[in-house]
Amino acid sequence: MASIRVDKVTKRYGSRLLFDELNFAVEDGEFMVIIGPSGCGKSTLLRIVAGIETMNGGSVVIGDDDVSNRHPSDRDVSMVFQDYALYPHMTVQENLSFGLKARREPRDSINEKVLQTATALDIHELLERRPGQLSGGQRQRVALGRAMIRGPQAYLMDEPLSNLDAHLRVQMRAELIEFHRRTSGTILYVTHDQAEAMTMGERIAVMNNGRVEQIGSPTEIYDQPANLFVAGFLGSPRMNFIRANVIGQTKENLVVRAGDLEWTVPGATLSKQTDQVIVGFRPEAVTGVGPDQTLEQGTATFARAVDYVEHLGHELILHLHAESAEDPGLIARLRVDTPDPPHGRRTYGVRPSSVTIFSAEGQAIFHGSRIRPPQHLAPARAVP
Amino acid sequence: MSLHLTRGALAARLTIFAALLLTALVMLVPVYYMAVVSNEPNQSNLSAVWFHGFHFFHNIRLALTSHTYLRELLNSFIMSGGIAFLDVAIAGSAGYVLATMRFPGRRILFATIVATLALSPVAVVIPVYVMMFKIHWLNTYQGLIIPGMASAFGVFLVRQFAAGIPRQVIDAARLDRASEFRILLSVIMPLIRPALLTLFLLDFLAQWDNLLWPLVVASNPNYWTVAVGLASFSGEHGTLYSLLAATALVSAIPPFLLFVALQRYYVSGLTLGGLKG
Repeated sequence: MASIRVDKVTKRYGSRLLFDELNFAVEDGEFMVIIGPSGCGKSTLLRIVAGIETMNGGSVVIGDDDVSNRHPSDRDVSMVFQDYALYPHMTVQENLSFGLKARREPRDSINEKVLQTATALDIHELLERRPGQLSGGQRQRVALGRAMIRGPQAYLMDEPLSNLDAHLRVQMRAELIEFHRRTSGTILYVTHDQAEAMTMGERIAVMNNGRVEQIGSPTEIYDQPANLFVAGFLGSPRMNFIRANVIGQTKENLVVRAGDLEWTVPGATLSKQTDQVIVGFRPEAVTGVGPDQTLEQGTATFARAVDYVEHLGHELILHLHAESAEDPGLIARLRVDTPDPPHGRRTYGVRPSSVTIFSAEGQAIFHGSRIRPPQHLAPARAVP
Repeated sequence: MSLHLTRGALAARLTIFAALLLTALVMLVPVYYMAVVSNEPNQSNLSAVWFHGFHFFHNIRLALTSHTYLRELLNSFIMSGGIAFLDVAIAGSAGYVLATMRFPGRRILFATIVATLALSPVAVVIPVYVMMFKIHWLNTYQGLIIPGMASAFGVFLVRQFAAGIPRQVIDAARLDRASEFRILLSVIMPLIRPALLTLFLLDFLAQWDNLLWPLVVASNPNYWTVAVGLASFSGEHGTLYSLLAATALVSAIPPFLLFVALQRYYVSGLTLGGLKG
């Protein structure tokens, strides 16, 4: 297994510049997920690493080798495609062994590897079938088997689960995590699905318009988004953003106000003098406030009526009524068992430790999670 | 098809079947007539409508002795087979490259090739004849074969078919460390086989029936094809219809057999069957 490094890669489509000296790296044995909206260049980046897309400048390094000018077949990476791209006229056995035959491995060794791989993926009973006779999940496994049978330097996966139904996707997600644990392979995984990124990635790279906006662990990306784009892209319903004015600043505190919302944020400082900021907080940061409740210091409280409620079974999504021109219409996410069913007008609160403050240009300048007492942050996933 | 048809639907269906049957019969009338004439004892009698005995083999024997029919049959095989084979190889590769590889001028090249379809083959007979004359290829097999060995239609057919191959399948093969040649041989060829076989069949049938070009390029009967040979039955002293019909009937057998063998691909080739999976 090997690391992947993309150095100053430039890619043009006609007159449109997609990547302008893009830098990017995946460590040896890491499961890195690239997430971003359609057309942000995430698949193109993957294809450039694989060598099946040309680039206009820069270099791709796999392990210690600069492979920029090498044919895809000489880069020793394997790829799992969104629509699997199995050879439709070959059986599963032939699909799996094609790459080994191309390398002229001895027949015995090929047969052994095919059986081994097929058994590991539970497709050993399908070896004589053709892709057309397989279900989506089975095809997905064959595609995975074809990628792993050669034991490549790195795996490139281009939205491999997007054609599966929801149930199968969850199952395959678990299998991919298990696969990574077993092989410790370097995986570069492209998706537009947040759940996939959050559950599988050791690190997540958020891309937009051919740029990497932020790279970090899932918790970092979610709790400490680097800018408005990352903050708005991850999370559903998306983060509430509201324009606010800085109305007071001391060494200890920053006071910001947006209409009837006012926070006193401890520990926040502005690097430059500014009046205008954008405050962001996630829907789950909005809590109902009872009459005698003690609140974290500096919490913004506000009364709102509810426009409508989405019942999602395990939670309620509240669309709060916008009360002024600058109020964008806040969204709250409450547990289903919240006392006082939230219908009429009532008071809500957002703690300062739940907000992220962005500069008017959209860069994050303060993350409330920094002052949040560490309680739920232990990742359940990262068991070695 | 539903088993329970209403009265109206049944009547409609019967009408359609009757019309189709009638059309088929009309199409078969010339074949029937050819069979009748080929069995005529009188070689110049064209007015027979019913069989007057069975003289087919007699007529064939006459044709064989009076003519170089076997040689023409061989020449037809060489020319039709040669052109079909070369066209599949050349137009096949060209179509594949135009469909899957990116290079400057690709679209213009393809458009130019397709534009030549608008050119009547008859229009180029004279210039090509002059070229053949200048390089001394009149009355040669290469003169019969080479000018027809790459067809714009073939390029078009294969290109459209190969464009249906998902690009990712080819990418996957590249990442599987297969050489371009291996990809062509073990991934592309099997996937575009219906198009290639269709092209082979269409070429073979068209060349088997081609009268104009062999007539122009081959004045020496040693290079005549069946089509030219059949045409030569009508001469200054009248036409030997029964011999003509008998040999024409025999001449129709090889393409007919080929068609039966490749019909499956012919149909799927013309509908440009997709690649599922």
